[in-house]
Amino acid sequence: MHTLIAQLDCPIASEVESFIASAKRLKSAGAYHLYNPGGGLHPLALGSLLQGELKKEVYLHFHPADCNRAALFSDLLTANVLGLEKVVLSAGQHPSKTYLKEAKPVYDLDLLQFLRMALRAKAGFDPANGALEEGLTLQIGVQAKVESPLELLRLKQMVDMGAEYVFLKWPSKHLPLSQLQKEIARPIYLSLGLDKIEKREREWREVMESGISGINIRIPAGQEAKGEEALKWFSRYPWSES
Amino acid sequence: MMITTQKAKEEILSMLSSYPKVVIIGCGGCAATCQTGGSEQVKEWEEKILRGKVLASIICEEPCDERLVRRDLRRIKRELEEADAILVFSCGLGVQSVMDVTDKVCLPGLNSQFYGKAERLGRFFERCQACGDCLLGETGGICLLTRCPKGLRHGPCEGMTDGKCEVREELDCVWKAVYDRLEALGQLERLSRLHDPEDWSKHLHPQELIWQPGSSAKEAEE
Repeated sequence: MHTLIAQLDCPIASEVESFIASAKRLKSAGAYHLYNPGGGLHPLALGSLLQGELKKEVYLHFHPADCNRAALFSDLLTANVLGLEKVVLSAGQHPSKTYLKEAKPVYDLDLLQFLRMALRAKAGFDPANGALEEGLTLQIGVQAKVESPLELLRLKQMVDMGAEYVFLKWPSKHLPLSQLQKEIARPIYLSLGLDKIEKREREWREVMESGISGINIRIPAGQEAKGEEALKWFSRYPWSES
Repeated sequence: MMITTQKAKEEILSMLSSYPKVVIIGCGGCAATCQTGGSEQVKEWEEKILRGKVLASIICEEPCDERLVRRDLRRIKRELEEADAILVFSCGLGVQSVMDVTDKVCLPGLNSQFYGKAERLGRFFERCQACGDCLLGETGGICLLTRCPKGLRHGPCEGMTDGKCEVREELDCVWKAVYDRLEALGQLERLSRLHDPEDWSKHLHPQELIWQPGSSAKEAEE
């Protein structure tokens, strides 16, 4: 059984009704994944609303591109309080690649340092090594791409540190998926751009049978119909056996 | 060295508009190498652009060193007293040194861009950020803080595509260069080390480094 995840950008908007309505249109999604490239509504607020209204799992995506360690820790604490357990960490897109190009890039932490901080919070420590009353109840994953030996090394480092699952940007050409799955022994969710999906059953069957745990589709605002169509197509796996 | 570019002529003229009598100070060091504040540039401003307004001009050996500024400005003491403003063609350090020494209105003719190395004349590359915690020994001599647009100590990021940088797509990802260099040196194990994030409490501006009487430079750093 594969989890189908709809990844949505947090909108730059002053109201949330249309965002919730768009998310509702993605009926075939088993979970949502909220990413804020910068300047949009906060994933914590949207995640809380989505989980409350649609009763589906929500993955919150946090990155240090525009937040220092204090702000990131605050996000983790708040996710824990709101009962949003699944967090995906990445380095995040550089602000110069977002709509707000003039914003200062932060990167107070890199992904490994952020992961270490999150795992320590889970173990009951704040970033200054003070003890929390109790560890955070979070399931911490990372976003990665594996197209080179160095990227594979980094991913293995993160898994060794304690990353619990991986959102793997696809395609990641360095290793066959089944081999990667064996090497890291963690749930892998393939992360795909909506425009990059070609519905070739034979090729995808091989991917789906490689041991992955799910498919994450990045769905741009306004393309929910196409996104739902793609999710639905994956939900029909194993398709026809012909 | 500090890499500088000259401000737009209109901007400089606008700054000078309310000061009829001006002294120009150039830089014999970095700005001369960058050809932004050396003798030729100072001469052009004195003889062509500000003709008739300039009481004196001088190339200071290193305007960022107050001792040299004091020494060199003695040669134009009288003109300085008469001047309404001083136009300084150096980095920001030089402008402030001149201001501290003369107590006059000092105007910058240049913009300081970055610490760079000169490959050859007219080709300067940012390679150091004076972070105070040099990791070049760990990275095969490649400064990640400077050459990775995200300044990551553990890269690459997930934005690298076909070995190219997410931010500057025309550049190879610097982490590829680090990997290749460490592999060639037989030091790939260095990539597995986990570095702590920067301790910003050690970098409170403005930073100072002051030798105590009787101590060596090394002791002062420690």
